[in-house]
Amino acid sequence: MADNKYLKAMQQASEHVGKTPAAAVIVSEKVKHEPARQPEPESRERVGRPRGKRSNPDWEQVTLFVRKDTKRAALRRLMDEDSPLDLSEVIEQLLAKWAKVS
Amino acid sequence: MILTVGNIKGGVGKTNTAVHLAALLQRLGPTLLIDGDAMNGSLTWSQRGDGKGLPFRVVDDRQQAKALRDGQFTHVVFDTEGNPDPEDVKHYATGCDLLVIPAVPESAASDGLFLTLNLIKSLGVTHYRVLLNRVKHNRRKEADELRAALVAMGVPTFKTEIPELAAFDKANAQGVPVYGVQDERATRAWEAFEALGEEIIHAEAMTHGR
Repeated sequence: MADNKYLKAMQQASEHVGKTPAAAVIVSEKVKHEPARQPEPESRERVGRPRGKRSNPDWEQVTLFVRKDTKRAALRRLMDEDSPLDLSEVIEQLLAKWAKVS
Repeated sequence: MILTVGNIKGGVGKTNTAVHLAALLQRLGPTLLIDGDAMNGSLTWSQRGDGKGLPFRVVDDRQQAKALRDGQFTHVVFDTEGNPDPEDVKHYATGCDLLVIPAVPESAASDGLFLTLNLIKSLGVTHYRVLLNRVKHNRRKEADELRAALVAMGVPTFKTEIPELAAFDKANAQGVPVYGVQDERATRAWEAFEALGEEIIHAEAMTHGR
């Protein structure tokens, strides 16, 4: 029982909920699936480019097929709206919602 | 009896549970299954059987008022949406006789389960039970570990577990309850729900002193 991973997780979750209203916990859980922000720059100066999705372990590169005109229209909309999102983030948002990942 | 099947975590077998609980309750009295999920899993299940495959009526939550007015239903099963807002959880948890929370024994699903449990605990809801669902025969240890954790935390949990069986997928595809499919494990699948039904009815009888 001592190394029961579910028990540990439950205890952690209930400790957490004691400090935070339940609704806030749910919201924070949902926020996990918002597109990952670029990592905050660390206080000491980092060398090189900021870390992107490729080096973020929460993201994985996949190959999938979309129709050419769909991709073109999506990119056009992102550019027209001057959106801070990129195509990956749009697809991630839609897919996360569809797959109902909580 | 009003049974609600819900869990903040999606993909834990809510629809399968709701459909088979409704099939069980229909044996006791006219039963209505309300499909509150935007994906309409229960409704499409019933439509695959041309409306004749399931022995009870299934309606979308937007049609429930009319169905409840026109029908004489003794029992209602509510299949809730995945990833609900806390406010929705509050309403569906307080608006039923028993909240059944299906839980898949795997680490990836446990965060959503614990969020659900904490939320309903904070609402003061006590009429709920966790159902270990989609239990894989080769991952017995996971189910035992989750059950031990639930017991240790004083979470009411059904003794019955629902196994992960292809017979349930076939039932969904054919639009019938699992006892209606040709599969060597269909009987075992249905017997699991019959055992669950006995537990629910026993719990209900204890609550109401019958």
